[in-house]
Amino acid sequence: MTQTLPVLLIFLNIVISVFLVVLFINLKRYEKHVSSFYNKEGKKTIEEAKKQAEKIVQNTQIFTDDLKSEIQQTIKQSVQQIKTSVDDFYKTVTDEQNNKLKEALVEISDYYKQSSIALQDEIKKTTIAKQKETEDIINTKMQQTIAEIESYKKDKLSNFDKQVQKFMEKELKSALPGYVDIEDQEKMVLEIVEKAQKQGFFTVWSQQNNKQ
Amino acid sequence: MITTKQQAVNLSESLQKIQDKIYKNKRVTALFESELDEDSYNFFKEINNIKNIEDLTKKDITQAIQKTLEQIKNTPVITLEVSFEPSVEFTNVLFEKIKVDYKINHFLDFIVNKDEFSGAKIEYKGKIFEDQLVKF
Repeated sequence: MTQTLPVLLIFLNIVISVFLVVLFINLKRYEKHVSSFYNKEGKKTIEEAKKQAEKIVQNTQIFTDDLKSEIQQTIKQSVQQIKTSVDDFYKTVTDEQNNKLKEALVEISDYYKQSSIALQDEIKKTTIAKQKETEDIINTKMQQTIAEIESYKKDKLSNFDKQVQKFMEKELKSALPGYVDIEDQEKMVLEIVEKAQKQGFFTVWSQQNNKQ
Repeated sequence: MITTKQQAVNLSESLQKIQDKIYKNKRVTALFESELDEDSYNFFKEINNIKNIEDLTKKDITQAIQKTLEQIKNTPVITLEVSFEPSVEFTNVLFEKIKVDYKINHFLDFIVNKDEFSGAKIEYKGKIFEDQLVKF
């Protein structure tokens, strides 16, 4: 048993070596085959990629030209739009300013017109008030003067009347023995009242009234 | 001084006007001053023992007016029929004499009859006293 084991080991070593050699040869052959396939397919792929790239580059060029043109057009339109907007804005601002200026002028004109009317009215009112005041003062003074004259006239006439009356009474007294002047009549009335009082005329009626 | 019936009647009418206006007018003194003469105003204040009318409420004044009107209404009138126009001086003298000397509260009412009388006819509370009638 111990003599066969090294032989078996050698044999197994030989078999494994042969197997490894065969495997190495086959790997080399496969590698060559793969390399050839990839060389062939790779070229094809590269060509396709190149074509595709050229196409992309071409398309990109077309796209770039179109974009350039479009951008230029857009810029042109934008510039035109901005110009129009600026023109419109300028026109609007100018119109607004003109309108505001017109309004302001109308407002100022109205204000001065109103102020002028108010001033005229005030002057008119003041003038009327002053006229009325003056008229009132004159009227009051006139009324006072008329009243004073009337009072003076009345006093004078009254005195004159009294003098005439006295004169007339004196003359009448001497001409008519039965004539009684006002002074005497007043005395007479006072005497009659005293007489009535003495006779209980007022007292009686006052007491009767109180009892009632 | 209020001495005659006519003055008392005028005062009553003025007080009625004041009473109608008193609740519309703010300045009571001005209202009294415009409606009453000095004698009437003094009479009103004297009757009601008022010193300053501005111190009174409108209700007080209304009551004072009523009191004055009542007093005027109840004051007897002495009517004298005479043949001359009595002067203010004579009226005052006669009024004071009857009021002070005889202590009779009254108003005087004169009837002037120049054609018929020289003297006086007195009427007081419905009774007549006459004397010294002298016909021309």
